[in-house]
Amino acid sequence: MRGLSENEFVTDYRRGNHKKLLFVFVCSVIAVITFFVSLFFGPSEITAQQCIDALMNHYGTITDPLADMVVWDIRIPEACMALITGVALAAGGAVMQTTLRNPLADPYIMGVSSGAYLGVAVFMAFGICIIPGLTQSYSIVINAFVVSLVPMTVILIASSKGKISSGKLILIGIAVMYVFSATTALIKVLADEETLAEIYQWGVGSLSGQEWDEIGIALVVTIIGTFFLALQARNLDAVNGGPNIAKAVGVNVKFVTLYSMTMVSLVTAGVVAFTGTIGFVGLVAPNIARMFVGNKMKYLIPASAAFGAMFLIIADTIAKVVTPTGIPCGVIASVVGGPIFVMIIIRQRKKALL
Amino acid sequence: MDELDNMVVEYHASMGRKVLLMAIFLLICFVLVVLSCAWGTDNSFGTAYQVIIDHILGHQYEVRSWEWWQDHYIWENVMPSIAVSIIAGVGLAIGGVVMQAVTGNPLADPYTTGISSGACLGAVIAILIGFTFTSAVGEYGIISNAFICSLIPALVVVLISKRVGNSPTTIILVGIAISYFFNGMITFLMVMANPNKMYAAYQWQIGSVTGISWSEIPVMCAAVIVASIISYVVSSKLDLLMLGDESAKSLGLNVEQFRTLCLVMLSILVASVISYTGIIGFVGLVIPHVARFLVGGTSRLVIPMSMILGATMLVFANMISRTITFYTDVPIGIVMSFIGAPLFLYLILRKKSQRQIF
Repeated sequence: MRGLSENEFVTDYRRGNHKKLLFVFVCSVIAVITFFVSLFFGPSEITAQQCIDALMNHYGTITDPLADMVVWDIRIPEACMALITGVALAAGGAVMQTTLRNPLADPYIMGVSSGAYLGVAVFMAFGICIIPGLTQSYSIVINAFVVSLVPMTVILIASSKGKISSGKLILIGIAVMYVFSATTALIKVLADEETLAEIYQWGVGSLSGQEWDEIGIALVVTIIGTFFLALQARNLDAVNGGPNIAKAVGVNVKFVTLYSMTMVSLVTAGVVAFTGTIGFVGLVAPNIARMFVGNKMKYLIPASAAFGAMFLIIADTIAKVVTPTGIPCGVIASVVGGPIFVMIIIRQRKKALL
Repeated sequence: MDELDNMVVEYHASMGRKVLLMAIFLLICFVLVVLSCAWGTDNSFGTAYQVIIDHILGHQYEVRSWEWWQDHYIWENVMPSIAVSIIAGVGLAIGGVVMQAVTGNPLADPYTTGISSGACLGAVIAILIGFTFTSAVGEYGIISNAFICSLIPALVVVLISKRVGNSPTTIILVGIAISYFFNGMITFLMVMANPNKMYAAYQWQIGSVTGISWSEIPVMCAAVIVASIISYVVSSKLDLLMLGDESAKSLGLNVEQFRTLCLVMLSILVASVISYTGIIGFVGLVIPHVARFLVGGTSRLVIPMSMILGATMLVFANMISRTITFYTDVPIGIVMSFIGAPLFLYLILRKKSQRQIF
């Protein structure tokens, strides 16, 4: 132990906190800059000048209707969706990892996203919604949320059943994901004919083709969900310490787990309903954020969210730059995410945690 | 002596039962083949059977008569995909048996360890870019590419199991991560080459046995036959390997060398199947377990049983994928993951009786 006086200790602590906030700030700034950069790229043939004009003139006199449409109805919604999705999935991933005390957990790999998408497919194919009489956008979110609770329940039951290694828990999640993806694919195929290509688009997640009202819903759900998750930050820290510590500091582990997992399902459903299952954001973002800000949820949630937003908007921009029509950014995410996943596994193994 | 005689009699009886079981499944497989032909052409079972038998007997029809068309349709449209299903089923099932023995991991198969994805990436590189790592061209170029790329995940799996210890869960997680990476690369390459190829890329990743003609089958068939014979010949060594490295070594098996040889053979086998069908999952994972359940643990029996079951399973999946909707073929891989994923879940969750796996 270093001999620190109280004052030195406080300064040291504050400096550490400043560093953590700096990480959040830098990620956010990069995300915003990339947001604007991404507006210049996309399938439509529009020059940079036209883009800038369209951006400037939208609330004045629109001189170039085509450019205006491309920028305001295609590119900005897509970029917004990238940011929202990044925030939602990364925050969800961070909370899942903490609650399950498993650095490999993520809404995608544990099947929550595929569960949510099954809910969407059920509505799209059969028009069945849990709460009837809502408009389409609301119905799919509700359906997605309710069905995503199924894999979540499976995981919670599995994780509560005595000794189960964290690797095995992830494998259970993966198996659940396979089941749900296959069901979704089957439903889509049975429902109508020209959707096989679409299933794939969904499977890897695609940010394009968003409507403004969908973005509104996703945004509201994400904000509410992350807010309620952030409220639990202290309790989540206690849960992360293990059941004994949690009990010692008077935290009800069961309640916190159920509450936070439901919220994770909610934020996941809120974005997955519109984008399809984008993988690895929820895995990569919290793990990288943790390297910079540590385990404390007060910092980890915002840091993951900022990093997730940055990660997805960059992935989306790269996807648009390298191919003329753009590939689903989920593809980029899995090319980047796969190796990082392996790295985390190896590190875990070395610490003999898996 | 009496006791010994009794044992011999008992042994023969149990062997007889197991062989009978194989014969039954072979028969089921054949019935399914005829059924697929019947459903594929809206015929009764008898008619389809008649057409198939007539063709095999070399019956000639008047060109463009009704029977001729029927014969033509069955043998040119339905049969190739059935043949591919059988070959792929046999090949992947053997792949699973060998992989599970070599890694000592009940969850390993070419799919979960990423070897299929690697092979598929190699094949896609050859087909799209026309670049082959060897100077071979055409089919052999594709297969050799697939083989070389499939060695990457095989190598990674071996290296990682050396580095971090051979925990079955870890290996499978690494394999799945690798396959995500390779699948991403496949989509990336295909979409770069042609933006409208999204669906084709998907078909490669989910596996499909449609749209294959007779001329493409011989190479794949030969590879599977050779691999089947080899794995049958070395089946006793596979049994040794399943006892664990230490025991296998003490019983005189050169573990490292044998494992490398098996992995290379496996890669060739998987590459030559995947190059034509794309990544079909779960066959190699599930079938060996079912076979072991039916005929017990010795590889000498498990291998032929797996071959028969694998073929039956894929013929069945193919039949489903053709008949579930009338306007389109559901890729066989979707059907397979529908059947295979719950079994995968079961395999993870079940309590191990013989050996502690996790």
